[in-house]
Amino acid sequence: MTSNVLAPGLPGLTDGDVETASKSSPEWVAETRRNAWRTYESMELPDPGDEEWRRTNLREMTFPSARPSQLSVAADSSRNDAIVIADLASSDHADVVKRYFGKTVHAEEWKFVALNAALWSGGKLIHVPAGVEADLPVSLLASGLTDGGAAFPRVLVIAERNSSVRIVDDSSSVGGGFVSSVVEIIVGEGAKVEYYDINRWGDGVLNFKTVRAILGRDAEFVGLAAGIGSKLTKMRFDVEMPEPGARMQLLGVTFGSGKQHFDYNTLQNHVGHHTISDLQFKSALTDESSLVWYGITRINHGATAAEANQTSRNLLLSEHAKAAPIPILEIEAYDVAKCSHGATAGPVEDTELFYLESRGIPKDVAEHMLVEGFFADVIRRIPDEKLREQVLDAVLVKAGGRLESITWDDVLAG
Amino acid sequence: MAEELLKIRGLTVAVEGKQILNGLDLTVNRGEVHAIMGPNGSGKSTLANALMGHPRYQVTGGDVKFKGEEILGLTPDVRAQKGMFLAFQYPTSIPGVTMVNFLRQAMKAVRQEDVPVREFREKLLATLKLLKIDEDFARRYVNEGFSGGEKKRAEVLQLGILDPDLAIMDETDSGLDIDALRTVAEGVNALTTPKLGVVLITHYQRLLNYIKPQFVHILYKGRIIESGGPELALQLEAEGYDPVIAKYGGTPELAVAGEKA
Ligand SMILES: Nc1ncnc2c1ncn2[C@@H]1O[C@H](COP(=O)(O)OP(=O)(O)OP(=O)(O)O)[C@@H](O)[C@H]1O
Ligand SMILES: [Mg+2]
Repeated sequence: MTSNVLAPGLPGLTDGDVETASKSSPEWVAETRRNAWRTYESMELPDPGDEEWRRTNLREMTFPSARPSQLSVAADSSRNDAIVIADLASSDHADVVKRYFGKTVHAEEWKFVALNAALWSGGKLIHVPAGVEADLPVSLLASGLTDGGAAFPRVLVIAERNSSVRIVDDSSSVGGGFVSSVVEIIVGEGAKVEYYDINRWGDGVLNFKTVRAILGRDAEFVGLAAGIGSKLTKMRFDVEMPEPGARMQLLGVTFGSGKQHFDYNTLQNHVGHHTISDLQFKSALTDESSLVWYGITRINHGATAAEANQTSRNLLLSEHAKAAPIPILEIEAYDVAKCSHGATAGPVEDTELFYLESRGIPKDVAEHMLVEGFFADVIRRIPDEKLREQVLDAVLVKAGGRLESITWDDVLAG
Repeated sequence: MAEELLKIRGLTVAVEGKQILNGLDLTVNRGEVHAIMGPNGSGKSTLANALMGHPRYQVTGGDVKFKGEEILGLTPDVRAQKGMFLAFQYPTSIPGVTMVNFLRQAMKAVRQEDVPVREFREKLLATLKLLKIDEDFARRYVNEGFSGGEKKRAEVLQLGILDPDLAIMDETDSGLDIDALRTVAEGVNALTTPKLGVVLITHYQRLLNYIKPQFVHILYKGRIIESGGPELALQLEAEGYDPVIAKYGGTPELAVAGEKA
């Protein structure tokens, strides 16, 4: 084992763990693991001078010693038999995995991504053949992180041309631990992928996650980050649109409590012409929780007629909660169709609260209604109703559950 | 004798440290309609909001009794539960909260008991029909994207569903075209019962052709400077506020001081 004073890593992990992880892997995987481990060892923790790391300074953090947990990811695939859901290390799919693994999120990007590439376990491949439209969601349920353990989930999604799939990546655990996840999503020409991340890690977990989707021509992507669990979450969520006609939405719903800290970096990268992006990130923060959203919209030369929007709204439900929403626009193209952004942070609107109270609704219920409405307004963009309800339920657990609600159709039917 | 519903004595209200109401008296009995008229900025909405308990409107003096009970210490929700209702001049929109959920919560809250779906449906459908509002309204978010006229109808819809004892209507007629005005006014009339007292804030006589007030009050610089019957509104329509204000010597501060009992 080597130890590097300039580039300290996670105590408790050694290159022996790479060998253990490699046991059930084919040789080419073992080789990438060893290379990634060397990269991990050689890299420093991110510099807090970097804009993206300013508000979550890893160099000041002490990482507890952690041993790898045996992560298990259950994939519910029984009803989608036209699509492949397999172990990433399985030799049956080696060709396709070899072609795409580590090509969208590179081990060299930063230290914990390299660590993931070295130690991932429970990795999943989701491969949707051309023209196949999976009508039911694929849910990945990650569990098995023991209190104080370390987990390295990894997902590779390949949606071939004109296919479609929705994926729910739901992680939970109890207690503390360390997690570094990587998700690579390749969306082929005319294909559509929806990817919903539900972070319900235990309240002591340090959670690092990188998700990057790359969209083909006329492809469509919907991504959601639901922040519920963890002590610290640092999530990078990037969407690359190198080809014309691609469209994407990035949605975020986070409910912070206690001393939770969420730090999101997003990228809407317009390269192809006529690409469209929209980002809606919302949070409600209580107690001493805090949130950073640092989101870049980049419209490159050649991305003519691009349309982009980014909006971050943050409800501060206590006077000690903090939000720093930072929208960044980098526009190089001359002929942009539309580009807008907005960021707010503040308490519940008192005129809205008063309106509800003036109708007899007690203040606490009124506030709860406003918080639900606040999230519902983002979540309604999720096309699938069941999923909408699932996400809203998951987030509002933090608000003490959901209020009884009724739809007009229920009223008409009931 | 008519039963006393609302009794305001010497009410003074400040907004952001600025005194807006300067000692206002008003008594409303059940079954009565009181119109309150007055120039822009005279304090009409301040009165309405203060009565409903808006935290931004700070009551600095006087007292208000509703059904014989002192209400200034009560929170807005409790005032509503006791039977007070305010139709807002500028209803706020609440994204993400559907009308149907909002109305159901409000109805439950005001009644302080569960409302069977069937009863809720009958009441809502009947009131929607009365006000000529499309059923799909119920699916929309509260006031979100409503036109000016739709917002005002939605306020009257709530009046119908919540069935209060006192309705304060702050310029419910503003922003309505002639047909909508008639619909809304007829709706209010249909919803009016002998138990209801109405405080009707308006700038226009045209509303008073439909909803007939027994009393008309003129609010000026935070005080009622003149009260009368329906003829007062007709006089205002013809002559404007100047003669009434001039009658008080042109310097309303003095005039009002002289009037103080
Ligand atoms: N929230 C507020 N913040 C600051 N000033 C206010 C606020 N509300 C009212 N005021 C001030 O109080 C005064 C009275 O306003 P109010 O809204 O009560 O008038 P109004 O009689 O309802 O006028 P209008 O006919 O235009 O509706 C005005 O000078 C107004 O600027
Ligand atoms: Mg007003």
